[in-house]
Amino acid sequence: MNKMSQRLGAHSVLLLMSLFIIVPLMFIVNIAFKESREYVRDPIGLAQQFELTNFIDAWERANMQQLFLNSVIYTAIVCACTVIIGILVAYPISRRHIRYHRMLYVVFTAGLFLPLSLVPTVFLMDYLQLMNTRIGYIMLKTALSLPLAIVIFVGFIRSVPRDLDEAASVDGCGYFRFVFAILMPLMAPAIATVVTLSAINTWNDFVNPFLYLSDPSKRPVTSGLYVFFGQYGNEWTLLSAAIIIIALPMIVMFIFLQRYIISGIASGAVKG
Amino acid sequence: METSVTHQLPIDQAKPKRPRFSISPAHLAILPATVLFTLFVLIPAIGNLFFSFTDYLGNVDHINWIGFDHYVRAFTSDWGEIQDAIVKSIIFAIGVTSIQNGSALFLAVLVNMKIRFRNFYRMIIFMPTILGVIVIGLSWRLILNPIFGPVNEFLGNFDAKSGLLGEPDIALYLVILIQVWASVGYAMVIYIAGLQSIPEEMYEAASIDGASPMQQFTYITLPLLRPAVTINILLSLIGSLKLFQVILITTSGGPAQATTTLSLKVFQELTGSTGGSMPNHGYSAALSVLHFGLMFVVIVAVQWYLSRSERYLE
Repeated sequence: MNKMSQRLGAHSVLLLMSLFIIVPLMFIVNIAFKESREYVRDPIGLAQQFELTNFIDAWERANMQQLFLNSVIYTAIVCACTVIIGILVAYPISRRHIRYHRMLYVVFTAGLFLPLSLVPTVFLMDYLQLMNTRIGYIMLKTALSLPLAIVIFVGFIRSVPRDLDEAASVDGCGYFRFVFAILMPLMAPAIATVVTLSAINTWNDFVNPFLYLSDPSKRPVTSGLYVFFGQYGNEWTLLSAAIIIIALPMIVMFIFLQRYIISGIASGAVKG
Repeated sequence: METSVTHQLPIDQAKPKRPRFSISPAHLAILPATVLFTLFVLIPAIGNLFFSFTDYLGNVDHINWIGFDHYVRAFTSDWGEIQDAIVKSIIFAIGVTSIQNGSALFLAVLVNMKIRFRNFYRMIIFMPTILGVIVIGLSWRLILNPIFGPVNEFLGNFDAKSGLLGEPDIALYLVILIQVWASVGYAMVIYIAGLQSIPEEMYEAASIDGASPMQQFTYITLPLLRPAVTINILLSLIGSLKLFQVILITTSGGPAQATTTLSLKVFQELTGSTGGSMPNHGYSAALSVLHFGLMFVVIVAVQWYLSRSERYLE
């Protein structure tokens, strides 16, 4: 009986918390289906019709096609670079192939805690003529997502037996071939974690594009939301639709890859 | 052929092969990461200190050394504002850290019980973590909208309508709530990992000895969860001191500077605030040095306190 009531209590608390998380999101979905006049008249009641007009309007008005393409490019390249560069540096660190491996690891992990240094970064981007260039933004984002990737990769490579390295080197396998052809396939779970975390980070980023990508043709999806803040009031129904358009790819990814995201955060935190 | 390979192995283990090139492949491998990280993270971090002593306004050709002028300004004529921002930062950080960790620990214990739908609950509570700050911020602006938002509609039933995010007295607390909503799942996942590392036998032994669930929690769970608690508290403290994006989107620091934390001020000085003040890069750099100092003091103090009480527990 005691056990039973305990479970009932747990369920009710968790259910309440889930509602607290999900209801605000449902509210946005509801607005996205309303006509703007309907929203002003009755902002809270259920939408009268389930038409996708707001989504189509929002997609066109914000030029989402272009923004989506940009964001997909940024996200894909940043993820790929983070994984490749991260593994390349994590392997020598975890195998102590270089003398200052400890210091290097500490410096990289310190990057997780350093505050944003906006002024020098703006200066640097200006100085290197990387302002408003795709390559500049991609390099910056890769550098910013490296620390977490390195923590996760180093933790993972330490669990790969050293015998493998030796066997490969005896068989005449080169250093880089070993990293890319033998080690990398073994690291699939860690790579999935790093990819999902940096994808979330890059897809949702809005401060860095705001600072470093002012050219409209280079902006990512997050900047599409500004379109609906007007001089004469905001277009809330279209804004809600745009919010959902932007959040949907991440939610879909999360549903399929949640195992990797959650295990990655747990392992990164425990080892970091 | 096979015998020769097995024969080679022990020799190789005893004496690792020395690379024959002048630059070993290991050094080549660390190069890209080191260059990128140095360029975009380390140099800017140090560069802040340099720019804080200059009158840099965003024009690369015009940088003059002005010594401690920006710091003098921050501590004299602007001190009222700065002090206010520091207080707001600390309230924000303490609010987020305490509420987030309290509820995350509680939720983690519940989700870790052997109940049905636990994966479903965990997934839902974690979900906001994957949504972007801008999505979260704008959604909450819609929900807390004083005219159309459901929260005010609900409060209207009790004649308690308020300006919500437009109300200087409560705006900061609402922003804290939004931040907790957004990141409680993250902390919960770390606590779950900590809980799962505690061996089941300890609870069995304790319950045979007649320990109540509450006693089990205080004498087994909490002490063994210390590492997760420390990590979580530090992560949320650092995160909430650093972060300004949610505040920027929901209130942009207003109303009447009620939600302007130090990190938001650094950003506003860089871009020019909505109030119409001109951007001042040098001053922004000086403020971010102060911000770093504040973070450093808070983190060292908390870590010292946590490690001291950890030792005390042992």
